[in-house]
Amino acid sequence: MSDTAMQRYVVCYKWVLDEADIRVLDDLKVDMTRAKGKVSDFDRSAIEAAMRAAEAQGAGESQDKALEVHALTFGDAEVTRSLKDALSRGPAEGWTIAGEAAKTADGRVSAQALAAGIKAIPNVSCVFAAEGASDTYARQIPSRIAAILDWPLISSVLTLKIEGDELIATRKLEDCLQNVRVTLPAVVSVLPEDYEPRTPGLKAVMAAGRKPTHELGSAELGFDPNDVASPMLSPKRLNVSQIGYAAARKNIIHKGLSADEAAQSVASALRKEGVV
Amino acid sequence: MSHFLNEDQQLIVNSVREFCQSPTVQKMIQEEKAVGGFPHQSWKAAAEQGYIAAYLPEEYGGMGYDHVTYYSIFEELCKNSYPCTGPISGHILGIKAIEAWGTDEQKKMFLPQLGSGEKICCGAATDPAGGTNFSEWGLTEEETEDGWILNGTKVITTNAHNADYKVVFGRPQNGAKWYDHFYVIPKDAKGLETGEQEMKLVPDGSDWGTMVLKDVHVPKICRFERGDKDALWLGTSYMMVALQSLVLGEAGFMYAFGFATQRSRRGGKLIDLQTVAHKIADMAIRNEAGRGLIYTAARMWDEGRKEECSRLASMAKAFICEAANKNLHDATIIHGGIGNTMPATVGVLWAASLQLELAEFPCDMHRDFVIESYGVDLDWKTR
Repeated sequence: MSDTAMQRYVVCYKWVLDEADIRVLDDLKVDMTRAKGKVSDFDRSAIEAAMRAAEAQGAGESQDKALEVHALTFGDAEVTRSLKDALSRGPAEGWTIAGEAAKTADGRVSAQALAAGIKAIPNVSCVFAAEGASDTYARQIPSRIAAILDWPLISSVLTLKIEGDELIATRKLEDCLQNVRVTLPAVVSVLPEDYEPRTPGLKAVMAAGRKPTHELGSAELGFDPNDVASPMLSPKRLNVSQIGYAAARKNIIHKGLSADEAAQSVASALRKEGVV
Repeated sequence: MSHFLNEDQQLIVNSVREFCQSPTVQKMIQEEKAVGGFPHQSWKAAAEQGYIAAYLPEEYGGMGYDHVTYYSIFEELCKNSYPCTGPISGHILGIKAIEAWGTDEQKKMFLPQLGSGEKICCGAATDPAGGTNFSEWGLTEEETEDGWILNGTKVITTNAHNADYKVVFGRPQNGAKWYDHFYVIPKDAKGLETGEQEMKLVPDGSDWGTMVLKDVHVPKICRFERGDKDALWLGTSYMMVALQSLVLGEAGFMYAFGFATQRSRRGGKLIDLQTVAHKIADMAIRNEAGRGLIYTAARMWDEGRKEECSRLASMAKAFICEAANKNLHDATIIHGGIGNTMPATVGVLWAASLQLELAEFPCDMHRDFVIESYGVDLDWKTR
């Protein structure tokens, strides 16, 4: 199978700070200095969806590779550190767009960079992404990428399957499920519910270090990802400030009740607050 | 990131944590706990992930990782209360023995299926007379034309019932001070019976019990001789126990810190009392010192500095297991009366730490090993 004849599913992911390491200080300043990177939780499900779709068509089972999943990410110079993590989850190859522009990027910039990356990868028939990243959850990237590529977008995908050049998906809407069908190429944004990510075993982690990786630069993208001043990479939405948010405690005491009444009262209060 | 781990090792630790906390694995654990007994499903899942004996070469069913990486995997499993950490520790004792003293033929015969976790192993060292009271051991070994006939009993052995292969240590011969041979006996060997499951003070996922050997015939190929090899590998098994204690000691710190920073006392936080703060600070100091001992020892093993590793491993076993007990004792006291209740957990962990103080020789025995490593000859061992 020649390189150009092989189909590729590209899954986009974001290397985010692990929220478990982020601390909101007493003065509500957000301390991210000790936060380590990770593949966004939702993107892990997107990777899983891409892998399952490819595996359902026999990807990875024969030497004659007709279909592969490739991972693509946009970030600063540190983003290459994410590759081993992403590739341990199944994708055959990794692609990075690394540049200073990622530090200030808004959804428009990120989508343009990723779309350029997708164009630079040969024979991409489907792009997978999460609805949003676990740090900002702005939900812009899949729709913007689809618009730039002029491909159909299927969002809020609960489950999907690919048959030939058609993608059939079930979308989860507010109060119903909708089945849709598109002809590839297409962009899909998946929900995590039915795509619990596989946990990489030691063999997968070890193999990840040997998988091919590629850094996309000016020659392939048509722009320099470090050129923050260029109109294409200059963000239109700027972060003004970021402060921690901590809900004030309600301090409600359910007293003077029997055990059963107290339990019911607490449950009722929790329901009222939308906690359960 | 722990300063003992590089980026790749940290990635592996993260993946172990992700595995333990994944909804599928959590569901499996809950279902298995509800049924009780040996955690076979958890064992199989860990084996599929490659965790069981990841330090072994691939040809022996492992992944070829170094010991620092392997211990960090095991530590993460312990931190997440993964059900089969006790069984893995018992399994590794047996595997380490086969790996160290086996001929190539013997290693090829047993290690691939044990290293991959397809089969389970145990290390049975303790005679009813005591683990190292060799002169009063009841085990008898009679040589025959084609092998050996064993009679006797082994007690408090981890994985005693579920091990497919029992590594049974024989009484040291010709005045030897220390274990110098063992047998590998298949589970279905004629004359091998397993007794009742011993009830630990704090039950866990491991099976722990007695094996009775009545005229058990062991072919020659299944007897392993130490010969001119050393017994330094035992240190790497002690460290498995020390790692479990380290995690308990860290739990003691976390419970105490969490409680003392939230609990008020006369309008202030409990941790504002200097005596409480110092107790908790001491817990952290002990934990970090213990971590330093274990991972330095592991690095020495990986660098081929086995004698230094062995000394540090015994230091780690002696120090960490007692430190965990001290941490959990203090953490329980800081909790007040509530610390002595089941829901508070901290008191239960304190009791659990006792088991690890005793496992793979009590801490004072390890002090013997430490002093011996400086050239002191302890003559009681030949009495």
